[in-house]
Amino acid sequence: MMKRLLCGLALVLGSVLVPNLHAQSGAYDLHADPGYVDFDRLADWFGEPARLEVNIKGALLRLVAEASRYEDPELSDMLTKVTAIQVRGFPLRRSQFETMETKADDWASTLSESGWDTIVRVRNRYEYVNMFVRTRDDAIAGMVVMVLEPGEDETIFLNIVGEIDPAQVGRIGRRFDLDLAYDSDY
Amino acid sequence: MNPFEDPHAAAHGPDTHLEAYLDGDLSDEEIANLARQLAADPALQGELDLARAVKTLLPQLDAPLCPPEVTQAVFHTTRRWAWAERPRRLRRRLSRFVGSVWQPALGLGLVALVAVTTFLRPAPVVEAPLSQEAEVQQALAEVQWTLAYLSRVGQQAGDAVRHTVLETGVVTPVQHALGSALDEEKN
Repeated sequence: MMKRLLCGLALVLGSVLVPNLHAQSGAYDLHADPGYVDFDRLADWFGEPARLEVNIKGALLRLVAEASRYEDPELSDMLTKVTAIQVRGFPLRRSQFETMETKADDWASTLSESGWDTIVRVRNRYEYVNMFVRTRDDAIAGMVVMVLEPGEDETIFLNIVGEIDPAQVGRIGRRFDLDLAYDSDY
Repeated sequence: MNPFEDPHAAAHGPDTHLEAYLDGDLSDEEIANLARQLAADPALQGELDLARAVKTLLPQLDAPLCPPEVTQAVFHTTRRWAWAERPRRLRRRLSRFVGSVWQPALGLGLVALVAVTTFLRPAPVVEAPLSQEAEVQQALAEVQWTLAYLSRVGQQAGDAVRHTVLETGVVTPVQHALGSALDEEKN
C-alpha cells in the first residue's frame, strides 16, 4: 500500500514539476528577439538616466491591447502582434549634438551590419532622424527610430518589437494627440 | 429425509427418471429401480425408447433463427440500458477510488501541487502589479503617445525626403531649366 502511495505521489509531483521546469527553460527571452534593441548604452552616452522612459511588454502589453479592444479595435489588433515597446528621451544641448550624431551613426552602422535596414535617414543642421526595420520571414520583426535634436525633449530613441506595419502605425498614430496622450514630466 | 433428494421427484413420475437416466444423472440404486420398472412395464420401456430417439434426433434438427427485428430490438434495448448505466458505474468507480487509500495520497498530492506551483512559478514578465486599472490606462496612454510620436516623425521625415529629393533634385532644376528656356525665347 505504501508503495502505491509513493507511486501516486511521484506521479502527481512529476506532472507538476515537469511543466514548470519546461516553462522556465523555454520562457520567451525578449533580449534574444531579432526585433529587440538594447537601450542600456544610452544612459552612458548622455551621462544621465533617461528623462522619458517607457517600457511596455508582456502581460501589461496584453492588458493594454485588451483594454483598447472595444474603443479602438485596430489599435488592439496591432498591439497583439507587438511584443514590446521601449522609449528613451534625453535632453540634448547644441554643443553635444555632433558627438551624439557620431555615436548614433556608429550605432546605425552596427545595426545595419546585424541585419537592420534603414528606411528613412534625414540629416539637416541640428536634426538627425534614422529609422530602421528588421525583417524575419518576410515580416517586420522590429523597428528602431533615433531622433536627435537639441532641446529638452526632442531627442528620442524608440524600439517597437514585433510584427508591425509602418503604414498602420502612421495611420493609428495620427489619431492621437501627442500633448494629451502622454503626460510627461518635461 | 435426505436434504439432497429432490422433493418433487415423486411427483414428476417415471418420465423425469427416464430423462435423468438418459442424461446420466441417476445413481446406481435409482438405475436398478428403473430397470426393474422397465422390465415389468413394457409401456414404460416404449417411453424410454421414444425419449432416447428424441434425444438422438433433436440435435440433428436445424436450430430456428431469431427474426432480425427481434435481434435488433434486443441489441437496441441492451445498448440503452448500458448507456443509462454508465453514470452510475462511473460514480461507483469514483467513489471506490476516492474512498480507498488514494484519498490521503490525493490530499498530499494537492498540497504538493500548491506548494510546488507557488515556489516554482516563473517570474512575472511585468514587474509592477497588473491588477491596477490606472496602470493599464497609463500604459495605454504611453502606447498612444509612442504611436503618435512615431507617426509625426515619419511624417516629418517623409516631408524632408520629399523636399530634398523632389523639390531640390527635380522641381527646382526643372523650373530653372524652363525659366532659362523662356528667357532665351524672349530674347
